[in-house]
Amino acid sequence: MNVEGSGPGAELAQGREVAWDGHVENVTELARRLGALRDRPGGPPLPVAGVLNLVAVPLVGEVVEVEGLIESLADHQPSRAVVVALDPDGEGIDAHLEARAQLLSGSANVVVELARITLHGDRTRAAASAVLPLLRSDLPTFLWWPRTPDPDDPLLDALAETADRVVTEAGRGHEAHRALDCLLRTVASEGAAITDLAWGAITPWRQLVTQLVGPEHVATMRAGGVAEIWHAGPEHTMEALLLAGWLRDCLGARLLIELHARPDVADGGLVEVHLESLRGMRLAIERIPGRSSAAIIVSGPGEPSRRRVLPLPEPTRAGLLAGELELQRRDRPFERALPLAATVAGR
Amino acid sequence: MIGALTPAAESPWDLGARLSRTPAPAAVVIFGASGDLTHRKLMPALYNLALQQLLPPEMAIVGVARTAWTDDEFRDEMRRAVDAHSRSGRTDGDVWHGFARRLRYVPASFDDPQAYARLDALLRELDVEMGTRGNRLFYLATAPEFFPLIGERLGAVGLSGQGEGNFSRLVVEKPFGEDLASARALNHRLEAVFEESQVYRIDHYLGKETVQNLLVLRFGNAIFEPIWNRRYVDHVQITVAEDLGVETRGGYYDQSGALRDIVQNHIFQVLSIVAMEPPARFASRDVRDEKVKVLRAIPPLRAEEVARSAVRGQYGAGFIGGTPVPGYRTEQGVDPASNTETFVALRLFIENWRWAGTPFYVRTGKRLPRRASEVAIQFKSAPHLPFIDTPVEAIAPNLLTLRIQPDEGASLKFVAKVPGTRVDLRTVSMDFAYGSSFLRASPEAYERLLLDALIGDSTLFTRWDEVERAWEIVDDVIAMWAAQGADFPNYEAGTWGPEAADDLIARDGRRWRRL
Repeated sequence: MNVEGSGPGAELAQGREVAWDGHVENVTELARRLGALRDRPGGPPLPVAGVLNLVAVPLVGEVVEVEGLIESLADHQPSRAVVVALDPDGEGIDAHLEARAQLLSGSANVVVELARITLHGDRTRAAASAVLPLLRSDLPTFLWWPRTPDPDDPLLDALAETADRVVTEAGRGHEAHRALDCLLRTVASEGAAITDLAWGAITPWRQLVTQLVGPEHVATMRAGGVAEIWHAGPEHTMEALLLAGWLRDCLGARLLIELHARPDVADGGLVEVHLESLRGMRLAIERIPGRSSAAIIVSGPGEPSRRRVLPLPEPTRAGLLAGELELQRRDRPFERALPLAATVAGR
Repeated sequence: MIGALTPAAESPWDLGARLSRTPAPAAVVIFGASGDLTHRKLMPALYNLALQQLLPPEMAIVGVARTAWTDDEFRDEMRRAVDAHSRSGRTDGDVWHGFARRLRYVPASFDDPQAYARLDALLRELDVEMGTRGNRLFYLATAPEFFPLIGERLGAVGLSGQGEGNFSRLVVEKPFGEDLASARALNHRLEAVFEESQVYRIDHYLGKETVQNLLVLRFGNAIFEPIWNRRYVDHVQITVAEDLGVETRGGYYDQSGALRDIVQNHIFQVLSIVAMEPPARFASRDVRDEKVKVLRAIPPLRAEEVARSAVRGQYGAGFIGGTPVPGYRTEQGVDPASNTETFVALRLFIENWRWAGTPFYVRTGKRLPRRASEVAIQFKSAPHLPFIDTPVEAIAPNLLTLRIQPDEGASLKFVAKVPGTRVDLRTVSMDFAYGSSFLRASPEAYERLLLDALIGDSTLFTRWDEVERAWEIVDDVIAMWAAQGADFPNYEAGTWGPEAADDLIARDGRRWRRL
């Protein structure tokens, strides 16, 4: 490890996290202080490894959780993260800055620079202008909006303007039908590419379906078939609706889709997916509880039913977010599935 | 029907940005299933593909080797191998359970015709039981002397045949021959049984993320192509340096040497990617057509040129990282009077419009001071520097370095002003490190290559005309070196090779990069 001089940069290079807390009137000062965390008097500043800017706007009470999750992503996606908290009381801006380094390619590099800014009073209306100076230029910027997006929210609108991609969690805190409606309207109104973590969560299920259903069967399903989706909990979930929308997009309007609740399963997500064609070919994918795998049962007229176990990774929230940060283009299948999910939901 | 899997090209699904291409149902048959390659690379790669949902649900893996294992003993052995060598760590119980039920084992001698009849019967059984649909991928992870024999035996029982709806492919490990004549003989025997399009000659360097990134760097960025030619490039250096000796491979290596082991395949493959014209598409035929054009433009090193353009070396005892290491001739499995080269340096020219007159210097060796594989593009000096008291010669010209391993990445050296009241110039570096920008682990080369072979994408495999041309380039060198004695050892372990290698490049007024 190359440690030169002293100062916060030298602390960082030795694996210690460095931080600064204070109250400021202007964010420009914070940008300078963030850079100063890497300073090593007598030597060059510690280099930064960064591939993206991540702006997060957590709900009150979720700030610590969101920050922890961002820090856990440093192993995957080094970033400059700006966490925005809003407080209608007080004045000015409270800030917490921190940096963490890792040993990369034989030398220490800063992999997470995190700035938490709490905007008080009338500063809450200037969130976008407070975020912009803190972003590293020429890096893709992601906005993580860990809740249902409200298309009429001026803060979301302003921050989405600065982002290349917006990652929402529409299924959290609202019933899925309403959340889907909000998501749909947000996608229609924002210029940035938008995605939702629930869409990422069903990727392993979609992967299995595409692997198990060949072209002949896709053709027969398009002529008419039945898809049944069982989901955890008593109410329809965003995952179930999005999977339904995707199946409708891929297999056509003649596909009959039924959603079933499994109130006895409490851990969220999908539980089972069944597909059946008019010719009697059947596919069942059943998640095996507590495991990262699914039982696959395939049967057809005159054929014995075959069962096997295949991997079905259980995504974590951090893993899902990390996956979203790797994509920089629009996700057309998602954008097509979304309105169709709304039709399945009866909206 | 349900249960059938389709190649990505035929997929009725819009895979979009997230879903991965997966191959058609198939049986993978590994000859040499008890060997080191299967343990260290192939089985961990197959398991990791399964873990990532990249293998078809309808799949079987059949091991063939002389060891007298049962199916269950083979499964146990493979689990130990995956636990020990997989990049994803120890096996997940459920995933392994699903994976292991695909594994079968055929104890057999490779020359036993009855064994192939048994294998054929088993594969037909698996078509029904596992739904593998008559698709077969045969992987030759054996000693090279078995390659033609296994190919012919497979052909004799009809396993090389493929029809409208099924495929039969043969993956052949290196070395593909030991000189031009033996490579042609091997290919002749294989092509009597398998068509060229069925043969996948593996060069694991092409599966490395950073070698593929060479293609992306060159053809995904508009700024490099205009200067990627003889007008702006002074010369190119390609280095594959290892600090290790021959380890447990002494017996094999002593019959092979650095020229056959590294230059004829890995280095020529990297060189052809560095020097090729832009392909119209990133597709198998387009890419390989362009690569072979580069090799065809390299004149074979004729006997009279060997002394000027080729240097060989063999390490003696020395120090690596402060630790004493033995000389090559005292390594296990090596002839004490061996004249096998452990170091090679070549000066090559590519005689085409783009590269005429631009030398490509390549070197590889064992027991060099450090492990490093890289391509260095040395640009020409600025024609004139308008700064008082700063002669052109005092400034190092621009250098683009593409590091393959370790510390994968790229760096560009350019000149900057030293802060101060005077105009002093100094070379600085602009770095891109894979490890800093993408912290996620790259897949093992064998994962990518196995998946491609199953899908039927041969872009990252070497075609026969590439292999043949690569042998043609070095065949005279092999013959001359075999006929002449050598004054070995001629470099100490822990140094950058024999002095003659420095002389080779110094004659052109250049020098090797200090790595």
